[in-house]
Amino acid sequence: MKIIIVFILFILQTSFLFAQTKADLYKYQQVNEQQKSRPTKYHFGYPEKEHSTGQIFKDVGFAYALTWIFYPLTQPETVGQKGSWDKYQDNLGKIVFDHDAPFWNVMVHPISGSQLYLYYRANGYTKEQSFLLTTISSAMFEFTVEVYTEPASAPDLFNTPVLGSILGYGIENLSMYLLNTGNPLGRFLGHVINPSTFFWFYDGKMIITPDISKDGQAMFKLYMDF
Amino acid sequence: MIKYLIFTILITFSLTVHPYEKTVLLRGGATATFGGVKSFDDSDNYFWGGGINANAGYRFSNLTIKGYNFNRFEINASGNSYWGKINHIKSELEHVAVDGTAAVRTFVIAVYLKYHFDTLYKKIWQPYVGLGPSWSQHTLKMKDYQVTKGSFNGNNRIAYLTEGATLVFGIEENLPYKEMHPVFMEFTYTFTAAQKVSLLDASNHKEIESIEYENIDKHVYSHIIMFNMGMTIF
Repeated sequence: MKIIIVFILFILQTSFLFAQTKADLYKYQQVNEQQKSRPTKYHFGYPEKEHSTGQIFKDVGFAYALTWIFYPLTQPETVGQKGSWDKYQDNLGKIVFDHDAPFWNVMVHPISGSQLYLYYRANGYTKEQSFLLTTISSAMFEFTVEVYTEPASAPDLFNTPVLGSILGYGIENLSMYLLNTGNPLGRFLGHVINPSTFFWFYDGKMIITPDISKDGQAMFKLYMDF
Repeated sequence: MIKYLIFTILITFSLTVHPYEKTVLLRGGATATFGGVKSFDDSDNYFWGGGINANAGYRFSNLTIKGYNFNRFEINASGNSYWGKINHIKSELEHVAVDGTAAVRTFVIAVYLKYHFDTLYKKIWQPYVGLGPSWSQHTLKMKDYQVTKGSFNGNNRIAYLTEGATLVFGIEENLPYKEMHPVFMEFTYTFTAAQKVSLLDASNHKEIESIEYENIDKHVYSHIIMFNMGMTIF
């Protein structure tokens, strides 16, 4: 009991002796006092821009090339054991209702669709354009890549772009919120759920720099490199 | 293949030519379902369930032909996924027949043309009606079942592929901007007739195989009433 009392007294005394003001305690940190938030060096967003027909074909073509790489990488057993060029010819042009488990139809395909949607959004397309391009990319995959193993699936043709774009819209909003908190964990998660923000084609990362205008007003300048 | 390539090129060109920002709509929400199935026996079997719905629409906002503006028309592709329970159903293929209760998983795709009427109540709510074809797949996981022919176990599933038509009527908020996420509520009635019944092997959940299937020449059909509620996402 005496030891506990001595210990408590020791803690109290040292607290008074080495007491620091709030200014001392946080003197090496910058704080946005009004919003009680961290000041951020970057602002993340989705600037939208016009695209030429050639640029659209290039972006769709890049996504299409990736599907040829990712499909055998993510499903090696299916492609190795069940795929063949004879089957490719037989399946070309067919649409069926597949018997896949809900895990594929309601989870995997919408997640893939969401990442396609976010890829197009990172390239500066509007939400509507991104949805339409996701539909095209998904259809190209179903009709010309996955037919190596099975015919195109009607539920997948619908779920990938539609549920995928809805999920992508949610991920987009959440990732922008996380990235703009300035919180290291928030930025890490924001990039993880939206990997397109890591790549060179994402031009929504703007550097925030303080500046003084000609008439002496303080302001922030957003600098975007593209 | 060539038709598909032409379709793709047309869509891609349309992205650069036509004003579409306010005409392409994506909606999502929840669905509650009630329906009846007339199966291989004379009794009507009822099911109920819940799930999600999503639809993509194209509103003809800028289309005027011979002075008539088509902005009240919208073409819609809608998908509903729901999970439910059916109290009693009998399924019969050439080598297998089974009856009992079942957990049902259904996916319905409908493509329909919607017509929007004048707004009601302070010009906020706008009723609409739609009609078009639909296709669905019902997958049954039998529980408390009796095998009357052949062999059937807990890893087997029965799948019905059906086609028919959908009638939609509902109301939607008439807001100036779709970024305000207008809400919609609708009832859909879907009547479909089974085209094919399949026996599936789901012992490997990653790869569900079809063991046997049969094209239906008997009258096996379903009435499904769905209540969908959701909002415009963008």
